Amino acid sequence: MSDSKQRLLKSRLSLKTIINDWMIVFLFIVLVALSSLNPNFRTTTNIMNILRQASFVAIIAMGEFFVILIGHMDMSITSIINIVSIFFAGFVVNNGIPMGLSFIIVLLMSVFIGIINGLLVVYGKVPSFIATLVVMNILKGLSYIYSGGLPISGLPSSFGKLALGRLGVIPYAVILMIVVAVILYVYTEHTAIGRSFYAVGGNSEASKLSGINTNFVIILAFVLCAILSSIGALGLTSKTLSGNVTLGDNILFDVMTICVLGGTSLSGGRGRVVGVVIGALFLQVISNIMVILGVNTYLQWVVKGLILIVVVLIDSRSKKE
Amino acid sequence: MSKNLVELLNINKAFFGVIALDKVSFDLIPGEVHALVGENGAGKSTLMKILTGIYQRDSGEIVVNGEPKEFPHVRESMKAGISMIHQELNLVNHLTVAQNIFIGREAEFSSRFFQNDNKINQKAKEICEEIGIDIDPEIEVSELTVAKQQMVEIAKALSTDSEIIIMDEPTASLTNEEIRDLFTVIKRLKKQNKGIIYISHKLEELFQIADRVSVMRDGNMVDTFPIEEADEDMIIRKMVGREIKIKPPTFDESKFGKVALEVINLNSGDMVKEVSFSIRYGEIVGFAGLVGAGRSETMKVIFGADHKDSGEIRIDGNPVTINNPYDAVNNSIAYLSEDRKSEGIITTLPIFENISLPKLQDFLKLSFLLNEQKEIKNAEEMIKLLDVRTPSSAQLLQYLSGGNQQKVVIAKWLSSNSKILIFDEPTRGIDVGAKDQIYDLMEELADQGNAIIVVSSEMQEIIRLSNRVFVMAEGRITGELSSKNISQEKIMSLAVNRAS
Repeated sequence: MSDSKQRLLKSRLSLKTIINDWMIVFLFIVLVALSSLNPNFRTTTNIMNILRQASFVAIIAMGEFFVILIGHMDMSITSIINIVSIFFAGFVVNNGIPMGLSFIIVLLMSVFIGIINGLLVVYGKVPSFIATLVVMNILKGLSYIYSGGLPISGLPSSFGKLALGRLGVIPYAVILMIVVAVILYVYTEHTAIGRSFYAVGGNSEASKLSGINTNFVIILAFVLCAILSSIGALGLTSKTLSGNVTLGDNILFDVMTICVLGGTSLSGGRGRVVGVVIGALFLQVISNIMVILGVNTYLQWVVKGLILIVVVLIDSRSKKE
Repeated sequence: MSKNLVELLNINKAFFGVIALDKVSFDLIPGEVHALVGENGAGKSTLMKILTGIYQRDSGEIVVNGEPKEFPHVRESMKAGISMIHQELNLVNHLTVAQNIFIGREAEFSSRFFQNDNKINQKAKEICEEIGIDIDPEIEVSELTVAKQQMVEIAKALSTDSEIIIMDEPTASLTNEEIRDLFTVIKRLKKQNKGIIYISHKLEELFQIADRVSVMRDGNMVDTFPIEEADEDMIIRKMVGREIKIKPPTFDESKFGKVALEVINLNSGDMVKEVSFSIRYGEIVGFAGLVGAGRSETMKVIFGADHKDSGEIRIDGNPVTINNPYDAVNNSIAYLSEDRKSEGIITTLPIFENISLPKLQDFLKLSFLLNEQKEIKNAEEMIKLLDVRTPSSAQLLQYLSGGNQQKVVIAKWLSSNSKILIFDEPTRGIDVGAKDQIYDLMEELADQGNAIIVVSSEMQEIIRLSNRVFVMAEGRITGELSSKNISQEKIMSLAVNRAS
């Protein structure tokens, strides 16, 4: 009895789940095909590489996931990543502030940015696309003013362990991603506030009239997005041991693709954290294949663009049924 | 023998193995209003969707004007002269009346590149005059009342030379006066030999407008008969297949508890002016009035969904501050919105998640994790109690019929354990059998000591349920009637009191 209920529960996001299930199958087929075709792919090193490279982007995508889930969009993540990267490096390298304290400062900064985004949307009634676009540009300006556009290098090598260190064969980055994903999975699917994101995304007016503090939920989504973006940003920064004002410039597209690949509905109310992680892995495998096959970077952008549009088309078709 | 406009013969249709229509036949002759009635899920909509090409039949025959037809798409059925006016109107708000009437066919009225509004305005005016509708074709549709918008839909149907017009619950959100106007238009259409298929839950209307009535039940056509041979009881019996008792309310005032809710001089904008009333535990109080009288607005202010300009709200004698619905829920008030689709349900969530939404804190374990077992158990109890037709409590709301969705909304507020329940149009779009269940339930809730406010545009509903009735007009309470002297006439005279 409760077993069948569980199954029904799982199938509640039916169409999305099908896409996810198919993606897992597809991912598996691609992996098998590649490992038989190209011995380079099969190596533990390469597999771990894929996981490691996917992990920070996955964390950022989990942030954007919250905003998409409530039916909004956060364009400012690119600039959040940039400003966190450059300020963190600046604090540590130029000001000699300890890394732990610097971390807390940039985290508070991102919370502040998330609140601004949320307030603009909730009380300013500004469409989230515009509100976050404005914030993106302001942050971009601030980070260039702060750094003059130049990277700040010279972070201690111990910080590099975040991106490159490993426990046995498993990179720290992957462990971090898994921990974040598990926490967020429980948070979204098994807590009251998590349920509220789905409710607000599904029908914000009905949620409000059910006694849910929709304003708080919306602001919280933007704050979570900013926090997760800044955690991802630190991971990416640790790879090069330098703060960089262009670090996140090309990431928004990947993040959107990951969310959609993972079955998050762009109109809000549907999606799962697990899907986002799978989406991130999928995109990384595709990138990896293209690298191994020697596809040039610009062509990779074209391919990723095509992937996104195909998934969105499938999604909008399945909705019509 | 008069030629039939439409003849549907032995139509069969199943969805995923569930039979929705079982050898249903139906016909329509020129110049008649043929009413189609039945409970929700009886198959009326499915039949009409097959006639208009939205669904495809499994077997059977569609004959229009003596010719067998195939309607693979709505376009083809429109070409054959069939128009349907849906309950949810299909108008573009920011276009003018004329632009809406001729939408998609602008090319017929334009030069090569530029649309000629003069021509369509002229044409729209002619059509409106023909059936006696007084609407300026150049006005934006968003500025019209729902009733007028419906008239625009009718004009749209006529502009395509439709011979067959299907109206789905056309009077659902109209006032009595607007209904009269609609009927005048329908009578003119009859004179022009159009055939009208009229779907309605309001049986008393049929006697004013219909020529024949067809009753459907569980996917079958039960009977078709001229209206003269019918009475309301008989139609209801055929619809539900069982007797329905209509009992007048009996209230034992001595059983009422102390005052639950007291509203003093409530003001909000133009729609709520100096509203004062009180309700005791165990009592059912009705709020009657015409559409736009300010009843829903008053309730929304009490519930904290709309802003309060001034006034006091007391619960159990103590003044309370309610700034938002969250405060209201915590003060034990529930508000079932009149607008189910946009304010009541979350279609992307399953039934059990919709039900537990207002009081998620009651469904926690370890004080932060949701106890889904408990949620599902509660939902299943509610499903049984309210007879929600669904395969499981995990079904998404979007897959339920309107009536079942409404029951879920009711279940949601029952689960919130609120003591003061505001039901705004609780049975809108719900079939007769389910209505009675909901009435019984509301009475039971009152018996258990809850205070219940009913806002309804259906006078019979108010009269059947209420111990006292407040009548509103233009944002003010124009009168209070207590059980002995509640009558349709008195309510109506108070409702138009200030409007006239």
